[in-house]
Amino acid sequence: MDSLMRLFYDEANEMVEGMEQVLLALESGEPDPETVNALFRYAHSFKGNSAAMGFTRLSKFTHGLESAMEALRKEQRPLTPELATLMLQAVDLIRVLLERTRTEGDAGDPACDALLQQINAALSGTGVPACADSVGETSEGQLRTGGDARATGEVARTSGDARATGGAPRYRIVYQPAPTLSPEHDPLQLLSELLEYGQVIECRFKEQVPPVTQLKLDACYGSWELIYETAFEPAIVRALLELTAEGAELRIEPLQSVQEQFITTAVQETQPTQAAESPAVAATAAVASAAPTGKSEAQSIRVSTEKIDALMNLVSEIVIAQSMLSSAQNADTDERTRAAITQMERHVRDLHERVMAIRLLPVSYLFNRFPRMVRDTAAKLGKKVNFEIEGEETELDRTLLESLSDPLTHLIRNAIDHGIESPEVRRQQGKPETGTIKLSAYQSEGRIYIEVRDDGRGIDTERVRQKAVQLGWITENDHPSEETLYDFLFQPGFSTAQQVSDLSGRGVGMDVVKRNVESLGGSISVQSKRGEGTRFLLRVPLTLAIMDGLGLTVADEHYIVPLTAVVEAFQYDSLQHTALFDQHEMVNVRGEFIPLVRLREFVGLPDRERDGLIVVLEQEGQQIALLIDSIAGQQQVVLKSLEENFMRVPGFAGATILGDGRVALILDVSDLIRRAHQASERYAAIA
Amino acid sequence: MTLTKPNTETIETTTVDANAEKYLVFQIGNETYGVPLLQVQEIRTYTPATRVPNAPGYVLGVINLRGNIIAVIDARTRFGLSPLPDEESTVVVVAQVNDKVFGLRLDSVSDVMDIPMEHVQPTPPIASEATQRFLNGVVQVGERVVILLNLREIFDIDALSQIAA
Repeated sequence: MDSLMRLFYDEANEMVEGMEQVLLALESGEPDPETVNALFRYAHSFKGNSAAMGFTRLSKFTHGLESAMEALRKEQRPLTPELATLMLQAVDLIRVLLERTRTEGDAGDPACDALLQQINAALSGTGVPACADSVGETSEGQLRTGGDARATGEVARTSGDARATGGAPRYRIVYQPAPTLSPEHDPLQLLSELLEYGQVIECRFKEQVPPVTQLKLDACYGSWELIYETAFEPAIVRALLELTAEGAELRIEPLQSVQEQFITTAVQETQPTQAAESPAVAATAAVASAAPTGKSEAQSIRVSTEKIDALMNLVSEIVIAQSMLSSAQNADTDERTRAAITQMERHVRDLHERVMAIRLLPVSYLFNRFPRMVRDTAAKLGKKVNFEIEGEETELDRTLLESLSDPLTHLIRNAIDHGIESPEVRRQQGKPETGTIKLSAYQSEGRIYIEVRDDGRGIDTERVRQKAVQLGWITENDHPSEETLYDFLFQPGFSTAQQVSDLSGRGVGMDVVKRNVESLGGSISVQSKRGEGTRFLLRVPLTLAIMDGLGLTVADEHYIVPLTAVVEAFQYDSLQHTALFDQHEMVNVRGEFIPLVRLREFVGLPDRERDGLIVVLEQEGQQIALLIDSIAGQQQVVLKSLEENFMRVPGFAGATILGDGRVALILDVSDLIRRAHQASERYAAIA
Repeated sequence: MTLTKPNTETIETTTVDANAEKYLVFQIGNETYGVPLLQVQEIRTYTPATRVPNAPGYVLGVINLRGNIIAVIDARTRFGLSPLPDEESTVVVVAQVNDKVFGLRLDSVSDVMDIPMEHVQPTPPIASEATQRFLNGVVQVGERVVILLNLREIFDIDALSQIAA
């Protein structure tokens, strides 16, 4: 299983557990709107994640569940014990389905629809006389209600009860498109053609997607399994399929009985006879049988960050103790002690690196799950989207990454749903039909920036205003500033989407995004221009980010610059030096004049007689020449915040802890460059 | 590296008082000062801090406290006295004020004392106005006069930021 899948399952299990806990809490206590919101958010995020992984049926079921929760959230309905039981059953069902997705891909279950019906019935207060408690216990009673009650008529249809739908012969069709998909082969076309000649009872999509690195763009990794009902002869069906599915692998088998369908389509752990009787019962039974065996595979373990923090801190202390031990060596130290210390040193360094590595991952780990989601979402909405990723090698603390997953999913989905216009509209406006969404990550001024930018329609501030009026937040005569209007977007309960889709637009998205980002000590801002696009900028602290640094020395002080900013280094030669207006110095580097910054002067140390080294630093196309004494070498550094316990120090992006436990400050290259260039512009203006 | 907090049980306590609070007591020059023990996280021996350019003189620099960067303030400099040289063995009292953790470098710590809070008197106007705000009052305990410090003012972050800006 690749890392993306593992992450999905880890998170999914967490959310399912979350839902369960919230439900239990709700049942036992006073309903608190915040708790209901939490429930809603779990369902919403879960839905989004499973959609992103291509588990559409799981996503669809959760969507139904979410709709039910919406009624709760709006405080229209109390959580009755009956409803709570049903909801918990739904959670159990999700768990079962989730396990099945591991082996089957997009797993679905007829019980889903039945359960949703019951929940909706319970919500509307009419409905199924069979109280929820009976569902798990008396299959007899449940069977009868399932058969009689009109509210559950849906069960019969979706579960594919042959008697209810006329009893035409059924077939299992396995359709595996050719390994290389060409534009002529459209699986969708095939499926729609099938619909003209009969009825698709079940459709299951299976996929075997290799790791991203081995992914071929034009390859097809999916296959379909259908339960198809038609009055036509198998030969005709085959001919029909072969026409559209050239080069594909096709298997058509007649199905013998209703029961057999359920062996494949319903919950497998259940007795087939029982399953055929009532899907809802089947699901409950499956839960019962799945639970004690504890099937969740432990692919990875989740460790609380506190534990890792504690470990990390302990390692830092060991590093310091180690360096004290090393420096305590002297001429009298015997050979064995010396050897032991050297060995110890190596192990401690190893330990340090490994503990640090536990927490760090490149953002690609997170970013790579989005192209698929963008593709599917765009296809569903009939939009054309070109998705670009930049800076995926930026390393981020794992906790930060995981916590950024939800906000980014929401933002990207919103960008497709609300940002990018339909191809027709874009054409009319003279834009390229294909919209662009760009996800980028970079580190600057001591923070990690993540940007989601689209070239869509931008935010309609007037509509935001009207919505705020509708919600009673402002009056009709209020005309707040643009920033205030943008702020409304992040308020709970706000959504400008006209209709509820399963993609976004329930108004949970943005407040969750803001909350998540803020809980990381970050912030989010939005810029938008009508007709040109929207940019969401997330800033998260760099506390735990890691980077390659170059150590610079002046006098006995040690500073770090990010290696990415370093262009070149060379011996300083006073012949290259030009002073403008006495103070403002420039250095001639191969005919180009670059502002000179003396690090000694910058950090308040006296000038040095001997010439030192020049390190040319560049950021955003601008350069400075930094004069230093010497280079101390290259090393990986963990960025630490100076602000957390102290304050922001101008000119410095943060600090890091060196191998010997000492602290070194990290220069803020963009700040240095800005200062130098501002100064040079001032002088230019005077001249 | 980290010294344990002085064992409170072995230290002579003057009078047991319901309103007494435990204070960490130390000597700077001829004066005895005290900070509430509750605010103190630990006491460490002082290791040279990394200088922070452009920071006020009383900020000795930053040190690594188990993975966190904290600033160390020199109590002597803060009170307008000349600092001890780095070679001199000194201690750092690590304290938490307003969610921020700071170090205060001292000559040494001597005691933990029960300070009867109802006997605390306002600071007499002996100190200059600038240092007056660092003090919470004075109290006579037996033979000694203990000056109670206001760590919040001593670590004043707002003032630090203004100086740096």
